[in-house]
Amino acid sequence: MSIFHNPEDSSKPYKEPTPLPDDVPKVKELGTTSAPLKSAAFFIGAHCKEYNEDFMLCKNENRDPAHCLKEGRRVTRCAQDMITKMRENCLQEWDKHWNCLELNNHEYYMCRKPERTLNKCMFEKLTIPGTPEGQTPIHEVKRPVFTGVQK
Amino acid sequence: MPPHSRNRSFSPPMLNQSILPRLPAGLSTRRRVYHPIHPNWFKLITIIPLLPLIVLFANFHFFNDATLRVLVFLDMPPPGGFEPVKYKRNIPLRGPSGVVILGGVTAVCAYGFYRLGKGNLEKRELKREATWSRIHLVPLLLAEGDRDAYRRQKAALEREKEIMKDVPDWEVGKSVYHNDKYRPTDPIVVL
Repeated sequence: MSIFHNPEDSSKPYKEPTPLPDDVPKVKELGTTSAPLKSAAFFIGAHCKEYNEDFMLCKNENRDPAHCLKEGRRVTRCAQDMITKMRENCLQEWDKHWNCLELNNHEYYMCRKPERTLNKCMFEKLTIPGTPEGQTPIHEVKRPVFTGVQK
Repeated sequence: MPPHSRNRSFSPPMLNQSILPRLPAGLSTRRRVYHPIHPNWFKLITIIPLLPLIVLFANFHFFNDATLRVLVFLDMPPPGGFEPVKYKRNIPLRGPSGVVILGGVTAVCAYGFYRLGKGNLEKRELKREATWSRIHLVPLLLAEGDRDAYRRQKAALEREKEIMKDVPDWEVGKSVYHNDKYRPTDPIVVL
């Protein structure tokens, strides 16, 4: 007989030790933390646009996790591929940018300088277009209103 | 006798300077500084005791009648008389007018609102950028979460199968709802 423990009251998260069943193909999980992902968000979005859209449309049909495992694997593989490419080509600029984000509450506007070097490196080496947003994209505005206090 | 106006020095103008006793040589060569309040002390010390004698001598020597003329320093008005007393109010119109002041205030406020508007537009764009970064990352995070949820769901089903294996007519994993729509399971942790 097992007593019901409300998971909201527990101090430790419950770790389910059972692994994925074997009939599900394995995929190498992304090991990145939030700051590198946030830094690489637009590049991943541009590179993996079709897979992301496919996955979201699948989700729209049915929210069951089992339904969209295949599309999810594709998304993860594409992102993994993108991250590997970024690490090979622009590792230092990327490191600088996401370390800057770590120090600044993950605010993009505080880290425009490293972002510009990262963009330059990515455009030269991997030729990925940025996200179009209107007149001047916000990451290219020359004299923004919101900046950090210290230059 | 003409009216006498007060001067800074205490030497009387009516008297002949040459007949006055000279000051001792040592003192007269000293630089004389006449203060408006404090007179030259040396001159006072030497002249003032002699003034009555000087007055008497001058009176009997220079004037033939018997009246005594006394040296007085009268506090008389300045030459030309005093200026007229200003009793009328003097509040001149000067400085910017009310319209100008309000115009200045309006200009400053307008500039402030302009800057505020620019800041709001930029805030909107920053929010847009942040939202799009999230949009791009959601599928991969969702896929990862899905795999984890699927794994846990399967493990829970296994546990349910194990627990309810002796119960007849128990369909493992059957939904309590007639609707086929997927509902996430309530989190029950078996410890």
